[in-house]
This record gives sequence, C-alpha cells and structure tokens, in this order.
Amino acid sequence: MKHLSAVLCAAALALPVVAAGQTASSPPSGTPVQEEVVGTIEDNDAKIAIPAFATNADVPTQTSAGSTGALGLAVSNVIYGDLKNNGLFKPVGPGSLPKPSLGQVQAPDYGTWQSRSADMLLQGYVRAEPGGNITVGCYLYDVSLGQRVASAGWTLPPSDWRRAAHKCADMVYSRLSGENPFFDSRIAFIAETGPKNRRMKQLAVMDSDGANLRYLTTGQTTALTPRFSPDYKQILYLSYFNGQPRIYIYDLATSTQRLLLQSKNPLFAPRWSPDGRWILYSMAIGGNTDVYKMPSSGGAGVKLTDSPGIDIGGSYSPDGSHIVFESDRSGSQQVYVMNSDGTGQKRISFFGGRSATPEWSPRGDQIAFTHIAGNFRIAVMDPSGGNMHYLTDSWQDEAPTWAPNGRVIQFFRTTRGSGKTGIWQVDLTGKNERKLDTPNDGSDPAWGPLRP
Amino acid sequence: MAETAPRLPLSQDEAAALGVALLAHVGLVAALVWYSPAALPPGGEGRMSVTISDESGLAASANSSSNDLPQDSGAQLGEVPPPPEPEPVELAKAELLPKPVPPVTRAVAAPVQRPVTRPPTAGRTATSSVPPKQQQGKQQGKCATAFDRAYGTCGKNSDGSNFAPGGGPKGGGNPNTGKGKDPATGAQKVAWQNSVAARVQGAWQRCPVSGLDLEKLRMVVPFNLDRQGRVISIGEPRVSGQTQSNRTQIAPFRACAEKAIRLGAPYLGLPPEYYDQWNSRELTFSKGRAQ
Repeated sequence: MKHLSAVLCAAALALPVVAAGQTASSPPSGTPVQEEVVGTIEDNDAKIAIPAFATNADVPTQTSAGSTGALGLAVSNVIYGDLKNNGLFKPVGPGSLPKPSLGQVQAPDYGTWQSRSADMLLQGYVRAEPGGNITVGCYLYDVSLGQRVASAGWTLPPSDWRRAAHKCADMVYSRLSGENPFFDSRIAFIAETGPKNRRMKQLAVMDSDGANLRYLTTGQTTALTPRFSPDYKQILYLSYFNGQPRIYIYDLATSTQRLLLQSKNPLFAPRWSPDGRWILYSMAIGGNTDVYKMPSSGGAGVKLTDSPGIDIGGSYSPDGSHIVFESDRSGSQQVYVMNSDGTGQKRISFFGGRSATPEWSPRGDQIAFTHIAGNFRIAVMDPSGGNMHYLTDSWQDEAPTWAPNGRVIQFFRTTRGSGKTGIWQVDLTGKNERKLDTPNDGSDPAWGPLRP
Repeated sequence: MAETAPRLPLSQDEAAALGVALLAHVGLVAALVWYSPAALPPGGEGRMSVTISDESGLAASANSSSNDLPQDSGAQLGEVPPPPEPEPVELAKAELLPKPVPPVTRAVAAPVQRPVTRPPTAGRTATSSVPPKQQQGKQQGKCATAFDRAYGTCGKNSDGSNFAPGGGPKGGGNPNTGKGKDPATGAQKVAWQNSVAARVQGAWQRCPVSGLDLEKLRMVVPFNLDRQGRVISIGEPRVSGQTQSNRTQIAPFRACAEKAIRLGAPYLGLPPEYYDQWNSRELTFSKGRAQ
C-alpha cells in the first residue's frame, strides 16, 4: 500500500507543463544584441527628381543652349537623359517638376519632394562667369533622410557645357551605384552611310550620349574597328584602301594619323595592351589567320598563335598577363585564353553553338562575347568560362566592348529585314538596353576613358 | 456450488488500489472536461489559438482578454511574474507561426540559400528565424501584426509572448541577469532581441543595390540606441562575401543599411530598465535573389 500511494502521488502531480515562452538567454550586459535583415534584389530603382537648374541672373551665354535660364533647363535635361534607362534609377525630368528658386538649391523644400514620393533629389545652379566660362553647381539630396549626400561644381568653357551636365550625372551615378562614372567620356565608332553595295564607313567620335559628333576620316577609305588608347589621346583603327589593309594610329590632339602596319595580307582587329605599349592584330597568310603582337611605336610583329585555323581577335586582361581570343581550331568559333606570350592556350567556351569576339572587362572579372546559336546574342562569362549568362535577346547583336567602369557594355545591333545597324548599350546585369542616336547607321563602337 | 459473480483474483489491497486509481481517472477526465482552459496553465493569462497553415493571415489570434490589461506598453514586461522554469518547447517557435502570405513570400524566399533550418530544439541561432521576421517587417501598420501589438504602441499581450520570431541568438538557459529587479523572463528577452529587424526590413528592401554576386555580400552593422530607442551612433560594418564583381557595391550596400537603420528609429517598446542589455546591437544585412 505504501508503494501504491507513492506511485499515485507521483501520477497526480505529473501534469503536462506547457512552456509559456521561448527560452532565450539575454546576453550579458555589453554583448550586442544580434538580428538579421534579409531583402531580395529587385528592380526597385531609386526615384530621382531632377528639376531645372536655377540661376542667379538670366543673362546670355555663348553656349549652344542660350541664356543661363535656358541653360539651366538644358543641363537638367542632359542629366535626365544620362540617368534614364541606365538601369539603376527612375529619374523624373524637369518637364514635369516645379522649378526651385536659387535659394532652395542648397536648402531644399523636402516636403514638396516627399509628397511626390521622390527618393532622391538633384538640384543645381548655373552661373555665367565674367570671362565667358560657365559654372555649374550640383547637389544631391536624400529626401527620406532629409540630408545632402553629395555636391560638386565645375567651371568650363561655354562650348563644354554638356560636359558639366555629364559630370553631374556621373556624381549621382557613382554615389548611388558604387560604380565608377562614365558619362563624361567619348565614344569612337564607324559611321555608315550609303547603300549596301557602296557602303561608306567613316571613323567618327561622339559624346557618350551621342552629341558633338565629329568625323575623323573622309570615307574615301573604309574604316573599321576603332579602339581608344588607354590614355585617351589616340585612336587605333583598321583602314582598307583599294583592298590594301592598313593599321593607323590617329592622334586626337593634332588630328593627324601615322601608319603603324601595312601588309598585302588581310589584317583584322587591332587592339591596345593596357599599358599602351603593344598592339595586337590578326593577319591571314594563305588562309591561316593568327594573332600577332607588335610594339605600338612600330616594329616587327611576334606571332602568338599557330594553329591551322582562324585565330583572331585578342583582348588583354586589365593586368596585361593574359589574352582572350577567338579560334575555330576545334571546328567552330570558340573562345580561348592564353598567356600574353602566347603559351598556355586553352578553350573556355563550352556552351554549344559558337562563341566569338571576346572582350575582357576593364575590371578583369568578366569576359563579354557574342554567342551564336541561331541568333547572335551578347553574353558574359567569368574568365574561366563559367557563369555564362545572356545580356541581350535580339536577332543579331555582336561585337561587345566595355565602358571603362566595367559595368556597361556597348554593341551593335542589326535589325532584321531592314539591315540597319545601330549602337546600343546594356548594363552588366542585362537590364536597360538603350540605343545611342547617331545621325546615320553606326557600328563597331568603342568607349574611350573618362575625361579628366 | 453456489453461483456467485465471477471474482477477479485480487487481494484486498489491490482492489482498493484499483478503486482509487479509477476514481483518480474519473477526476482527471472531469477536470479536463469541466475546467476552463484559462485556469489551467501556470504563468499565463491567456491562451492563443495557433494555426499551422499556409493560408492563414498574419493577424494575431491572441485571446482578446489580453487587450484588457491595464499596463501600458513599456513597463508591463517587467511586472509580469516569471513563470516556473519552463521546459524548452520541442516544437520550434518558428513552426507555430503562420506562414507568410504570397506577396510577402518573395522576401521570405531569399533565405533559401541560407542555412535555414527549422530547429528541433530551442536555442538555435537567429538565422532560422529570418522568414517570420520579414513578414512582419512588411506590415508596418500600427497594430497590423501581433508583433506590433506586442512591441509597438497599441497594447501588449499579457506575458509578452510570443509571436516574436525565432530564438534569441544565444541559445541556452535563463540566466538571472536583471539589475536587482525581477529577472527578465525568456519572453521579455525575446522582445528586445527581436524588435529592430522587422522595422528595418522595409527600408532595406526598398533601397536599390544592383550588380553581380550581390547575394554573396553580408554586412554586420553595429549601432547603439538611447533609452527612447533613437539611434545614437552607427559603427564600422564588418563585410564578408566580397568578390571582384561585387566590390563596388559595398559602399551603396552600407549606405542603404545605415539609412534603413536610421529610418526605422525610434525603436519603441524596449524596456528602459533593461537598457544595458539591449542598447548595443548588430544587424546583419544581406540581399538574396528574388524567386
């Protein structure tokens, strides 16, 4: 009976115990409380309001925009155009926004902008200086935090007023995206006119938004594949005259050019080394094309590839240690990497179809190329050939080149049916394709470095 | 032979014991049937019905009597008498929460790449508690969620339990570290440990960062709050997962993280008497791929 009672007592007491709360310890005083916040990468672009720039006095200027009042509006429109379709922002241009007064430029009325759901606000002013120069000041504000995040100003000759707007867009772009800026730069390309059987191809340069177009050759010879030198001062390009190929280096400061290489063999794809000391080119001898390298000051070429096929192109890695090129030695065009002395050649493209026109990013982390499997599409991969993904999806996109910040890629697109070519840009993430307006057709775009 | 009712081969003791046992069983059944649930469990004032379902919403289903409590938001956590030492619930707290509704799931889906494991025991780290936090971050209305009701300004649950997600980052027992006051309960500690991330989540999600290899980046940002929950200072972050492709994104990532922390302030509902234990904080920020 004694045992029984004990058992019964134990049974009666064994009620289920429900925990009322999470057992969690508090860290001893001084140890930080830790939590985690996870988001997702979405297309949530920052909405930037860009009202017209104000001015202290509406006086005439020597700019192509007119008086300072009109110039203020023009500057904000150039900035709006740069940031639009750039992929990271949703700018609202001056046309649909109230115009702030000069005093508000440095002391914004945040309430107005909050009610318009702006995330960021870009305000500025323009001022005519006594000697004719123009000063542009530029201020970027975070509307929800209610504080200024960046500001800068530039004084430039009146003919360069667009550069001030590009530099302002660069300030916004680099501050918000973390990337190096690129709007204040020039693009070299081949301007094409005329019917298909008598096509005229001239070397031309323009601003990164298509303005200030200037032709460098007359069109009597066909110009192809231009490339800026690393110091921006020269353009390397291929010219055909009476079937004779020649590689020229054009000096932008003196507007003269010198002959680098002339051959009775076909020549292709001249490219600079990152230090500007070497030029890569491809030459076809008896149907066998190989990649060569020669000093940019002139001299004998060194043969780098030697396969019985077409080895062509050639783009240096930014540290100058490797070269990526295209070869059909496997039976179809594919992408290969080798050391800069020609040793260690190995294939890196195994995606099916054909892979052509590779270009190494100036950041070194990606190689852009044209992938051909039915359509021609721009794609990127890492330097070992992995993580390939497409950036475009049209009928015929080819010949990608990189902006100096390694984030935006340029290529040219041929429209199906009409055969018209145009220059396009796309962000490295594949978003935001944007056409560059050229007066006529354009091809072979190459981006120059940022202007100081 | 006389006909008698069949007799079980029991001794007198055994018969008596069986009788007592029978009575005890009857009493237990009676207690379970007749006694109201509110009177039963020790330490808790109200029961909450918990739904395990994919479709249920985020509205709390706490017993409405919890809103009748006279205490106001800040002080009451300290006045609830501590429960007897509870056993850790083998069911993870995270499993008791309703799963997030689809529009919010995108934010929740991100941790697929993370080591999200439903903990079989309490005391796991905070990574497992990430999904429920995000769903609460999306609903910033004042009393929209049980979380806000618990830690916001619209009234509190009786014992501060426990729609707060997941475990405290330091697992383990229940050390007695109050400053000479009643020791903080597990529920109270959860309150101050989980009161910031949900408020930061919305601004963090909206802030744009873009580029390659972004999902590899993780940033731990230390910061301090004053007694009113305002941000005093934000320190240097610790970054991990950087690659050549996402290196340039570290600066805007950091700017977005600091902005999200500032925009979420002031962080209300933290008990002033335990200020020492919750004022120094770290938030780990990351962005995953949308699905």
